[in-house]
Amino acid sequence: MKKKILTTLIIFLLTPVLSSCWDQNEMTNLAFIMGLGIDKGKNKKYDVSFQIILPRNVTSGEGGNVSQGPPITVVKSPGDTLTEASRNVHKIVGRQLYYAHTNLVVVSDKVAKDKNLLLGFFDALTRDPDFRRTSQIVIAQKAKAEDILSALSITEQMPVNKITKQIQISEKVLGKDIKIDIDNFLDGVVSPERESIATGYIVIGKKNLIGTPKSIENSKVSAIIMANGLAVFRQGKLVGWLEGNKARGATWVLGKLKNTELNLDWEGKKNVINFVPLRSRTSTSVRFMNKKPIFQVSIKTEGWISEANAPIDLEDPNELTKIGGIAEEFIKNDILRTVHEAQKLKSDIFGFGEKVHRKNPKLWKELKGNWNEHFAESDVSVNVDVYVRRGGVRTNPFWVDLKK
Amino acid sequence: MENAKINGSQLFVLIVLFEMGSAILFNLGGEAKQDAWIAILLGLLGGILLFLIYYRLYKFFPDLPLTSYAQKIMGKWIGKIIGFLYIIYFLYIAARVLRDFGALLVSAIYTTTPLFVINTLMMLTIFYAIHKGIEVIARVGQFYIMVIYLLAIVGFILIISSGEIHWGNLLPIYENGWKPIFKAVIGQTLTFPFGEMIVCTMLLPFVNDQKKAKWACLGGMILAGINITITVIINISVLGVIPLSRSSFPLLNTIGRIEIAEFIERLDVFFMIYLVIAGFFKVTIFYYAAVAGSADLFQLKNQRIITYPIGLLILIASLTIAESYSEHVVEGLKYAPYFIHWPMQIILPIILLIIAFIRYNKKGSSPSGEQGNQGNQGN
Amino acid sequence: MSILSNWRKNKNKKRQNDNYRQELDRQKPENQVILRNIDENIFRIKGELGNSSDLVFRDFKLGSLRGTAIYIDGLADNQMISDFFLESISDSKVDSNQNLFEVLMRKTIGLGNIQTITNWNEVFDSFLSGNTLFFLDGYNRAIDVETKGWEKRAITEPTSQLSIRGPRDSFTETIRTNTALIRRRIKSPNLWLEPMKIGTVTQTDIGIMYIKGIANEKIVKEVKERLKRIDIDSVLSSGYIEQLIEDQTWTNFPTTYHSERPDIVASQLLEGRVAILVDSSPFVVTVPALFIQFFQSPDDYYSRFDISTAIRLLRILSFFIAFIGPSLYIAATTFHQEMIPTTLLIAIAAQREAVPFPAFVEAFIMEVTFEILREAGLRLPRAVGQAVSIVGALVIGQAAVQAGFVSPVMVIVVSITAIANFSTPVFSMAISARLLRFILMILASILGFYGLLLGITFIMIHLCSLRSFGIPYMMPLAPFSLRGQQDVFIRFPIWAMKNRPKFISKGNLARTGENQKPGPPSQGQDQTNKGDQG
Repeated sequence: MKKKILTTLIIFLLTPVLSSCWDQNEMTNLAFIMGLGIDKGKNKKYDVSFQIILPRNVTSGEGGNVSQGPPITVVKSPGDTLTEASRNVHKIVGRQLYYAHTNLVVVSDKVAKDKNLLLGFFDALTRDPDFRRTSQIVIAQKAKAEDILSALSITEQMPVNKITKQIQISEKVLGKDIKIDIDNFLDGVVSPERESIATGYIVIGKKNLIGTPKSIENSKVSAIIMANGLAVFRQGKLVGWLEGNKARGATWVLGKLKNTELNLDWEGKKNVINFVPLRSRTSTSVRFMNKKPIFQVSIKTEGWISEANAPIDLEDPNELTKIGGIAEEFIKNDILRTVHEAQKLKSDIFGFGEKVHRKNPKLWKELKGNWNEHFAESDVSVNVDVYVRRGGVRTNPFWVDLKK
Repeated sequence: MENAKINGSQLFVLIVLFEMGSAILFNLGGEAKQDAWIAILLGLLGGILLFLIYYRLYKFFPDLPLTSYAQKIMGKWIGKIIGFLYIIYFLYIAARVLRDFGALLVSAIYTTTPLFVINTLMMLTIFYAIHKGIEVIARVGQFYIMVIYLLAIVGFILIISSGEIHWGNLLPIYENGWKPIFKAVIGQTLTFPFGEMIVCTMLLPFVNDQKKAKWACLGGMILAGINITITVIINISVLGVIPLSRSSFPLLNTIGRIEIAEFIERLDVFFMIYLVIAGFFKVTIFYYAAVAGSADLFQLKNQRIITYPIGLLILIASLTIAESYSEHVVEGLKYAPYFIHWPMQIILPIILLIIAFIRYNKKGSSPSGEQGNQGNQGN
Repeated sequence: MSILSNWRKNKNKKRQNDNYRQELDRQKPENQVILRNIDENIFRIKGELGNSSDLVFRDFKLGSLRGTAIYIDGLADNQMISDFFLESISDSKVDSNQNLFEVLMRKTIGLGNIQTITNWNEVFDSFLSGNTLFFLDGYNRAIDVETKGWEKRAITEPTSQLSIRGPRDSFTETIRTNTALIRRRIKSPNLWLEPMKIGTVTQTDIGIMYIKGIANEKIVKEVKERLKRIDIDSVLSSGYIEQLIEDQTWTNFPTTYHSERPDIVASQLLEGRVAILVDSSPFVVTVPALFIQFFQSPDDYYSRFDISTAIRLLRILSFFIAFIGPSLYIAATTFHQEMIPTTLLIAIAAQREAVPFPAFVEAFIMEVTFEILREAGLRLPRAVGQAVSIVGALVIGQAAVQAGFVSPVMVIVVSITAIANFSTPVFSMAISARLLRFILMILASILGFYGLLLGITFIMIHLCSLRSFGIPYMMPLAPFSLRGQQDVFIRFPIWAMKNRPKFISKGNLARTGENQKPGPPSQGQDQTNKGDQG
């Protein structure tokens, strides 16, 4: 009995000696990759950029003094596969790359336009146990992924947060960007029921300054990155962009939009009233006519008037209803424009196929093989209900008095 | 046989932990796609029927384990062979389950640690538990079930508040008809995990209250079945059918989707806590059944003598059972159900029961002198 | 293997001890009796005590006979004996026809409890425990008068188990005071006290206290048997007894409970436990002890149930932190960096950049340093002790961080662990967590959370296999007992704790009467005198 306990103890005590290195990683031996950038390579398939965070430059160590220097460094490495590229980085970096905190994957539009290139690296991302499934994916529009990745941020210490947070807040209050992680994206590529979208990013200002401290040195920023539009994919290939209000239409149909702003016309004057929807609910239903699906998108939204630059009697409920009517029309047109654009691109980014599949599995089996064609030809009607609830902390705008 | 007694609620807890065990980790009933949950519920129904067979046998011999009454029913030598087969069977499943857990840890979290180390350490812990006996195992179970439920509830709340659940993924129901569902039931969910209740034929003699034993087992199976069903439903509705079928460990992926306020994320640890606890109990119970069975079969007074060799056997088997994880899975999902589980879990017990009926019910008396009249009381 | 050889050595030593003890026995005049000749008796006593200087002989004359009073200076009440000689013996006239021994007996009654002894063996028992022996020439008997009266420490406030609302008295080193403290709380004829002497050399008084009818007979019997079995030369503290009657020695966890608070012991007795009082120890041992009991503090019962429940949960949580705090840190920072939120990870990584040690070594050094500090603070005189803790906390912590030897995070982890460790009400449980913490740290550094989980499972199996006097150590939890839950994680209101824990006391379970739930008076909404207003 005692001997057994003793042997067990000895085994336990010996294991640290035996095991010194498996899976144990001291933090000081790790390079935390915050973002990946994927560009088209020259000799190899890809040029992969790794954004490595330099913890000492981000937060204060002891003593409270932040060291000077940029918070990140971006390392580029070529490779035919992602693994090759990531191992090649070790020619430059003396620490093990650690992907568990990678929050962002930037793909250049050149890669996105080539199906083989785009799909060629996804398996590595999903297979690696460290890589997080909630990493977001964005498309570099007319720019290199490396540039987007190396851009410094004004407000955030960690540049990756600039992008992820910005998409999040924009999805919430503007509704023109959308948070897509690699799981969602791949789902769209693989599933016949829908297609993928992703937020696009562009560089504005002096492109050659991006990534240098100079770019954000002055209070007037000289080079920065900005979210711009949604990239539309068809079967794993970038086929077009939805920009501006069309992007908002997409988030609206997808039911992701919560909050946005709409400029409405009033009595002939253009863009004088601004209506802010606060809560929106989208539901999509499908009917069938002669084996052809007909989609009905219904949107219920309520909100308030944030600006009224015209003499309107906001105390009159009828006027509010009237504004509601204009807003309904506005939203409807917005969405229809988006839908037509998507149909033109033959890409079912809204997941309408899913509705067909669930409603009518038998028909779906016939349509499945060529769904995007069917989608392009199907009828979509939009039904919007707008409820204008209130008008801020003023009753009538001062314009009413000005008129007198 | 160890001279120990466990009570009804302890048996219940053990059954729940045992049945949930590894079943929650895998893509159970994956053949039925979004209808996997139906396959599991049907499997549960079948499992309950199977359990009633085992229970009927137990009622013939309330104080004996399977290895003993097989000898009484089939005669000494054939019975001994059957008993021996069952010991091997328990050993085999124990090794399989150990491999499952080891492989999972190695492929998901400890990528560079040798499987040998992971399994050995697990086996050491289990060995200690077996050494302490079934009473202690049952008590630890009562503790850990609270931990598991706490984790499950927290996990459930987190996944719902992450907004990742899309109930639509469960639709359409019966898309491909009943065929794939039945295929999943017969090939998988009936034998794994519900048919594994065969192990309770070795545990029931330890229960101090015969009447409670039946309801403890049935209740445990049903609760475990419901838990598995809920897990599968959440897996499907979070991941969707297609990604689910590609994932080796769906629950890990589901947990990976949790992301709240950029602070609560990557809760792999939750998964690991469950994994270790469930793996521990499942292997422990099979291991214990094998140990108790061999002690009974070879008439050993002190079962501790064979605890160590059997443990070593399980450990070695778990490492050598398959070369790669894929081989292990193929063996487990394609061959084991039909060639191993069906005969051991279904066919043999039915044969035993039929013969027991013929031999003992005709006489209308108790099956054996030493059993007294208790055996037939419940009829 | 050194442990095994040590073990063997001890076996040999034990044999030597036996020889020594046999010799002692031979010296003892076991069956001898007191002689008639007083001088011979005195000579023998002097001889056997080696002329010890604290042995006092006071000669007196009673009638025609010589007599001697023997007592030990310091143990017996000097004042009392002097008064007695002044008043009763010196100026008394005795009729020499009377039986002088009986005269003496009558006189000594005034002193205290008296008893006649004839056995030589009892002679030593008597005056060595503070009694006075009266020898009278010509009689082969002696009078044993209880004159115990040594210097006692006053009853002071408890020092190791503090409470806010509880009573302020604590046990002292005198067993009689201690029994009185308990009996003052339980004025029931069913509170039984059984005496016993343990220690072949020390002859220490032991008291077994229990409430007849509430305590489980089997446990009482078992306690007595285990105490009787003890054969040891000395018992200097209740800690000796504790270690000799445990169910299992190979464990880190205390399977007996000890307390210096009479209120705790009284409540334990009322739950059906058995108390073992040891003379010269201010700690009373109670058995059986259950795991959860070490997290119950007397204040839990003196304040309202909601508050005490919250505080008890906090205590359990802090025990858990003290248990796994550093190992969690090691596992998270060296194996599972993915589970640390990104911003926090970056902050930790920045702090660790310049630290020269691996996380495990860093944690180990800090923990050991802290343990040394704590031990030093405990042993040093009180005034210096504080200085040590200041030096430790400020200088070492601050300087180590500034020099870059350890990261600030590590200091935070160690301090939280230490503070959490202090919140366990009973020291013996707190210290077991301290020791196991190091083992868990090693496991966490080998295999991260997997190692940690296996370690915890190991400890769990161990805990579940423990028993205290036959009662499973984790009792109301595993095996689970629904009724036992009223005083585990949630302390039920007093009126709802209707029964004593069934697994400890057998029979007579009712604790409260029916309908004890208090409430407002049934008639009339408030008690203001409405009549007066009219």
